[in-house]
Amino acid sequence: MNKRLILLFSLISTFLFTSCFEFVEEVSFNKDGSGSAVLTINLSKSKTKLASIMLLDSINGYKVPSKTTIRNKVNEIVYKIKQTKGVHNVKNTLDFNEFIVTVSCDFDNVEALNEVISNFSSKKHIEAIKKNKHFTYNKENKTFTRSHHFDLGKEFQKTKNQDRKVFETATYTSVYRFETPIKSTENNQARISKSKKAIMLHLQAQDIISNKQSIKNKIQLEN
Amino acid sequence: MKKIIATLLLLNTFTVIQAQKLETKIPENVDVLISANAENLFKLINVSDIDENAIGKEILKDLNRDYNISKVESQAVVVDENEERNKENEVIKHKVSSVANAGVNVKANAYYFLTKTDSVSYHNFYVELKDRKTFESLLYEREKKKLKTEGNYSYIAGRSSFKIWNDHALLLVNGSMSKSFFSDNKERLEKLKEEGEYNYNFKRRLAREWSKEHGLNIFDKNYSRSIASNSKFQKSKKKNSSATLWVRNYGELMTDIFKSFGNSFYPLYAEGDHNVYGVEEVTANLFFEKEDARVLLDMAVSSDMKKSFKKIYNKRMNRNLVNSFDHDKALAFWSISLNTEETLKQYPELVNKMYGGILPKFQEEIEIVGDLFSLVIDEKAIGELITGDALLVLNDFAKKEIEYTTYEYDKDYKRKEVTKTKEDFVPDFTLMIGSEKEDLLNKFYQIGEKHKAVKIENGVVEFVTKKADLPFGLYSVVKNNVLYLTTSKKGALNIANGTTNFNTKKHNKLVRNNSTVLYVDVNGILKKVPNEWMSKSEKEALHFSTDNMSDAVFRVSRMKGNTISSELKLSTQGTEENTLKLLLKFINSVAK
Repeated sequence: MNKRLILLFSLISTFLFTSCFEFVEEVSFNKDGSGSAVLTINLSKSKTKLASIMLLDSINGYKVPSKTTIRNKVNEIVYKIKQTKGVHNVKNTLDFNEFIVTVSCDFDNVEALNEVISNFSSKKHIEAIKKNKHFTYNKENKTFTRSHHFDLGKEFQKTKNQDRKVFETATYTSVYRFETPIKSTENNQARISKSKKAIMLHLQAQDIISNKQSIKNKIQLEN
Repeated sequence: MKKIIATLLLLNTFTVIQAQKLETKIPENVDVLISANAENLFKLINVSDIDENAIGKEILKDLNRDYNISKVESQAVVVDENEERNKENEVIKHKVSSVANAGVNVKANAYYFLTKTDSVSYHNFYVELKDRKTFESLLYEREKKKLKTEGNYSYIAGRSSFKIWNDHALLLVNGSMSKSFFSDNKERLEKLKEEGEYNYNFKRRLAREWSKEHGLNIFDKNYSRSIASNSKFQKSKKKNSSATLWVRNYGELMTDIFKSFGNSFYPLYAEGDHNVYGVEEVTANLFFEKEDARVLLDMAVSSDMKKSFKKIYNKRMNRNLVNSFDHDKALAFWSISLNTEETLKQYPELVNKMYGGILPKFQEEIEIVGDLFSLVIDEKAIGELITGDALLVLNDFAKKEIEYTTYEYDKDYKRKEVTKTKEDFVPDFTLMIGSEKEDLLNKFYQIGEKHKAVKIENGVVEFVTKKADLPFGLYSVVKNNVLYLTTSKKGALNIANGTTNFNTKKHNKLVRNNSTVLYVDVNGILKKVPNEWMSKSEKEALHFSTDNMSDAVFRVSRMKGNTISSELKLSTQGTEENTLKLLLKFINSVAK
């Protein structure tokens, strides 16, 4: 039986669908600025489509990587993170049934997280990251800021129309936890929990791309 | 240049009143010839239909590019050595209001033809001119500077092409060099190289010089042996065809093309001088009828391969397969019918003919491999196991509940993994493979059951698959000398119990009279596919299709004489006068 042929048919059904995926960033801080971070990419909602795609050689002109290639790539990323100074206890999971990837680690201070991002960036971007750090935690002022160094909307315009659809139904969620209560937040989309010790920002990728919403935030903690 | 190409492209979609005029000027020995049959095209549309179309508008915009910048410009810059006189002749340039008024005779046939030597391939475009002055006035300024006139003709030797014309016709030549020719004649050619000249530039220069020589040589020459008297080409032009393609010898052409890449790229083709594919003359015609647009392609098979091809392809599909699906409901299907036993028997001979030709030194070795193949393989037994009939049918798209993992957050934003369900569409299809060895297949499944790879119940075999591997269930039935594989359990049970009730008339002849058919009910499929995530342009194309289109069929006939015919046919609902008008309408709708 021609497996590929059958999959071609299964693809017709899923081809026009956009994939849905969740991007979740969770960071818990200790009083001294150290903490732990978990990054989750969940593609479970598109698993039928992905299972079909995984059986193909290429799609939309892109080569479909094998499970081994993906596993190796993830291992490579984890290895690189492990090499970063100030980062410990790096763990990861990779679930090909549900298509969920997680990477977690402990860090001495947020600078280590910025270093991790720099390690995966080009020289040009490293310079930009230095000016526009993704994470800053000021112990004295008790402020935490989340930022980024690129214009997402602009980067997005560079991609092919066809590829942009992937992001149409994607979501971004960030949860930051602190030991001291949160006093205020600059991003009005973010919600502070009842205990005031956690803050969540849930956004549609579309809104981030079109610059309607931002993942940037400045959080002021109580003294 | 851009303008000329656009005009020529346009002409290519068009076309035979004065056709014979240019045909006598095209040498008989061309390898490929495309004729845009203007007379037939303008039976279908008017010039105004083009002018009002997005393509026409684009061409007119280009033709009128200078109009708004400077209305005062010399109209006919013919000779650059006499600029003073030209200035005196400056007149107000007229705006071109129709593609028919750009100097080229759009109502006469236009031709593309390919001629080759061992060193260079010439792509030639030939069109008729009706107004030389207008044509010349619309040339780009930089082209006008290069213009030369000798006797009654003018020419421009451009960087990439050579253009030559007189009062009646325009010829455009584009030469491309053969790589292998350069490597084979390196020493001789080195002497022609100018000092310090780069290889690339040298090749380009030679191509330019040779294109010019070729253009000057063939332009406006009346051949006693032209394509006008080539009966094969004349026969290939079908009545009402809008465009005709004629290839003298496809196999030889391909071998030549591969050889021109040089030994390093295709060492296999470098030797021998053979028609590897067994395909000789190829002709194709394009038709725009009221309710369908068609491309009809005929391939002549060489006499030494004819017998083998006939034995392989001249087989009708077993009725059991054709009658095993509902023809009125099928969204798409693909049928293949060939004779496995004969394929295996003919295979060694075909290999010998193909590769023996490519590698003449190894003819004996290849023959032995072929003989060994015949010796080891039991053609008859394999032919019984897989008869060569196969039919894949897309019956429907079924809704299916799919579970997925997502997250919920409690009041302290602690994450909890939860399982939710969503509706997904999975295809419902059936694959049928003809087989006379039911016992063997059943035994095979019984072993599968023993090893827990399948479950057998009520004559239906269910494949045990992990959900993540396949998004649907898979069932099999062995019956009526057919191996069925389907995604529908109900369908499998009906086949096993013989309780199917299918309408089997619609495609019966189509499938049984052709060796391969691909059928797609375009709108049937589009209706089933949810369109909520489609972009605006995709939705527009969808509406255009549901309003105008019907279905698409590609078929390859069985062999008749030494010819295999194939046809691609797009059927419409006949909403426009003819399908060419519909095509223009479609272009307008997507160009918006």
